[in-house]
Amino acid sequence: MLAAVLALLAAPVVTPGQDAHYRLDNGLEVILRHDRRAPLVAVRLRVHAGSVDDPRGRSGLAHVVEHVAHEGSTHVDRNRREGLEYTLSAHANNAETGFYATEYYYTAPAQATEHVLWIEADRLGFVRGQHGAPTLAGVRRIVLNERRQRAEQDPLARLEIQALTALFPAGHPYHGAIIGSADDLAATTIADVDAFLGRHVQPGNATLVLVGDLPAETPAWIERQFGDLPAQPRPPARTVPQVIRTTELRVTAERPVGAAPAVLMAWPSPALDAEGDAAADVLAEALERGGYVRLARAEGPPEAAEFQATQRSLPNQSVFFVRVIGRVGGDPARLVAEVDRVLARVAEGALAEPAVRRARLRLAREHRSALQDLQDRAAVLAAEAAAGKPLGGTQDVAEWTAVTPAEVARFAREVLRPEGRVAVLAEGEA
Amino acid sequence: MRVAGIANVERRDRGCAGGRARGGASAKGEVGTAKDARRRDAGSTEPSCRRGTGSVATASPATVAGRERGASARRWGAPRAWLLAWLLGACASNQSWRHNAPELPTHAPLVVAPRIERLGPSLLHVRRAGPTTAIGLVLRTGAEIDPPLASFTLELLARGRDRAVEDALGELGGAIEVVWLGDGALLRVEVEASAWREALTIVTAALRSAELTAEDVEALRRERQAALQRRDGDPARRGLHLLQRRLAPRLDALGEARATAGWSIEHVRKAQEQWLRARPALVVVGEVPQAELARAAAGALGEWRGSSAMSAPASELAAARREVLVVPRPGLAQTAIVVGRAIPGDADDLALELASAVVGSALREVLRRDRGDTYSVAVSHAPVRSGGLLAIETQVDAVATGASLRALLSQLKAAQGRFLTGDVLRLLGRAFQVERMLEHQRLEAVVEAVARLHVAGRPDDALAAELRRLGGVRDDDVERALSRWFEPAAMQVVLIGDPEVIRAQVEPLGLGPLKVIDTDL
Repeated sequence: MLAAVLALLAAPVVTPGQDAHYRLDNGLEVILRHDRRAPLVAVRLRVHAGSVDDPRGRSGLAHVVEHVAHEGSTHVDRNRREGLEYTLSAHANNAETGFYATEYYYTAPAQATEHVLWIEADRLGFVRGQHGAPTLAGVRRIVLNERRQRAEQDPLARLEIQALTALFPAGHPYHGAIIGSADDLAATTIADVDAFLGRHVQPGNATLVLVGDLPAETPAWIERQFGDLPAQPRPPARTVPQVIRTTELRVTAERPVGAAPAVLMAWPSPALDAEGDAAADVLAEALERGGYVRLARAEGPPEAAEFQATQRSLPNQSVFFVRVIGRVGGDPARLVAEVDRVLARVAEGALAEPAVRRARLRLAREHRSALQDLQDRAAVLAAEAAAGKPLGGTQDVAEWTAVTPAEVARFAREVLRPEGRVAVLAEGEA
Repeated sequence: MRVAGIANVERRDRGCAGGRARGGASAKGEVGTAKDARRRDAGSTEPSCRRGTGSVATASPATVAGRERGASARRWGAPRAWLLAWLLGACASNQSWRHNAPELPTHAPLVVAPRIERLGPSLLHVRRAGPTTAIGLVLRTGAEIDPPLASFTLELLARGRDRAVEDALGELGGAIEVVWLGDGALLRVEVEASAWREALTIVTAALRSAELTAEDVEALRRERQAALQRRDGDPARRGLHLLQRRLAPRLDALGEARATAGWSIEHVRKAQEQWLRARPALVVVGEVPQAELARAAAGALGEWRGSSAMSAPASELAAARREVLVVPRPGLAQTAIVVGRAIPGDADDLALELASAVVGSALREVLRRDRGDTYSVAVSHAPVRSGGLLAIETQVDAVATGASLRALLSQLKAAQGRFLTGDVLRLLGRAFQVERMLEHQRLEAVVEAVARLHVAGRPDDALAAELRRLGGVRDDDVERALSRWFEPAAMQVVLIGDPEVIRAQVEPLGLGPLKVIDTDL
């Protein structure tokens, strides 16, 4: 009781029931958003460390740490946590590791909020030193199975890993896969895990987002659970060198993806929120929704049966992907030639205002729709905070809305040049 | 720049879709709940025991620091040692409170279901404030419908001639999609809230359009064939499809390459006529004035020439055959195992859902954690009136194919007659109640949930009734579902992987002859 009163007194001035964005004294960034459409709360803890922070020779370490953190912390071991999740109906939880962040999240009944904060605070402050080699061995086994399932079984997933491996040189943080190489996973030790936890998993390097039907006591609970975790300086951001290709690199796929040929292309592209990033989104959307096929068929039946494009926006440098699947009996080199013809036409301004406008409108509406889900909204807020944007999605929508056909053409002209990319070509099965 | 939906992330597996795995994690809760309660108590006492040893902290790294300093204190003499121990103890106590979880709530979480308002025989509305509105046109399937061709035709109609419908909806911020429901199909679009009237008119008109051409058919055929290639390239999806084709063909919306290659514009027009025979229903989720909505719907559907009835498909439940189907993929590091059976349309869906969670949890514990053979296990049930599908999917280390399959079937056997206490079931039911709320956050998900009720012929208050029943599920219902639907001998086994590896490990299990399948069924 005394501790709760002290925590309340120490809590930052946050008006109960009001949205807030503040930092605790130890540096933890907190974002609170009230949304009472359902008696649920989404809690998201974003640790600003991901696979770019993997030490050399330890690819996949950030992801391994995510799994180890799932195995329990000093005061909340795994069985106890899972039992509580069950008791509280807080079963909707997961974690994910990206290039730049690892996120742990729950969507739970509002009455479970304090428990979830207790669990996440222990995860942020008390995992290091808690596990030994047996835990790591179990985690490694699960991660290797995950790697096989996600990165090796599906041939299309393999294409992407091949592309990133070829596009970014060994040692570059984007080289290979977030999940790491089998050799590096085998070499990882519990000391590596603890070193990563000690350096990166700490309040000054994290953002806590809560969205939903937040109880009035939420700010006090946050202060109580997280406030006395020790402050540490935020680790310096890892250097991510810019990669620029001046000659095209074509790579043969490790194995066919099916009866028809397929090609995956990857270009280094403008960083998250840099000039050209929004244009890349609009271009990908416009090409996928009919834009590609309309431009391709001008010279006869298209080679591509399916076209997909995406701008994977990342700090420092992004990656623009194009994936095409051809027709049975087709030739992957002809697919590449068709993509080049279409992109050349886009660069000349062939993607007109109606196609660009529809893409802009769809992106903005999809963004609004995503905010209906409390956890998705929490993810957006956490990402916006990490990028230093105003919270609420207005900047993204404004940037998409401002994209013109001329900017789309310029992006195609300046970024999507054949010499600037890696292409992975898969022949159809004989 | 899209910040939602981070791509290329590695995500911890939650098990089967929709978070049911976690609800199922409780399956071991029959001991787990009680065990957890003991652990909670132990959590409080354990640090005290450690403090009793003279160490002031409870775990590393604080433990290490505490113990070292404690040792030093003995050398410094009693007064200073006492002071230091007190200080350290005070610090430690600042953290030891963490062993105690906050007090558990004394009441069940609040749960709410979408409230469906019927504004006419074919118009269902769910009010939701927000900047967008979701619209669904729901069609029931009849016995005469061939699912792959019917879904192909709907996709064409949803797209329109040379994508005209898609473009028109794009001007409203919408992206139309076809959702196959087994008992029916759904054309769904979400648009800016102010554009609902226009979208409703476009979607309903699209279904009656007579403008499709052979070029449209050819363009979509190419895309469909690419989608088939993607599906069949993924071992798990290939296995599930094989099971669908054999046991629940009305769930198979994509079909197979050979049939797809033979469709012409005439086939499509005939399928369109079949769709038009039955009057569709409209589902609208959003903040829309109801009188205006009723008028708009009447205008869009009022002159529909079809009846609202369509001949229901006969319920002929396919039985599993005493053979193991093998799709060869030489050299695969993992074998995809898909095991399932057909489920009649009148089965108790909720009990089966809870039973699936129990089985999924047990399988994950054994195959993922104990044996280390897999990353994930999913148990799913897709209900269809004429015969739905219960499926268990996992991908295991190829060298453990036989042992994993044996362990899986053994767990199914062990689930027969599993005793579940009332407390465990109550918590399991609650977990699914919350899961339903999570599922219904998105407008498009509410449209789909309402569409599924409609095509299954269930009442408009079924979503609320489900929530109530989940809160009071009975142990004998779940136990009956476990014993009735998870009998290993009634399961069809499909394996995708290296045929030699599979043969060597699976033949000795005596599950029946291995039948190799590598072409369209």
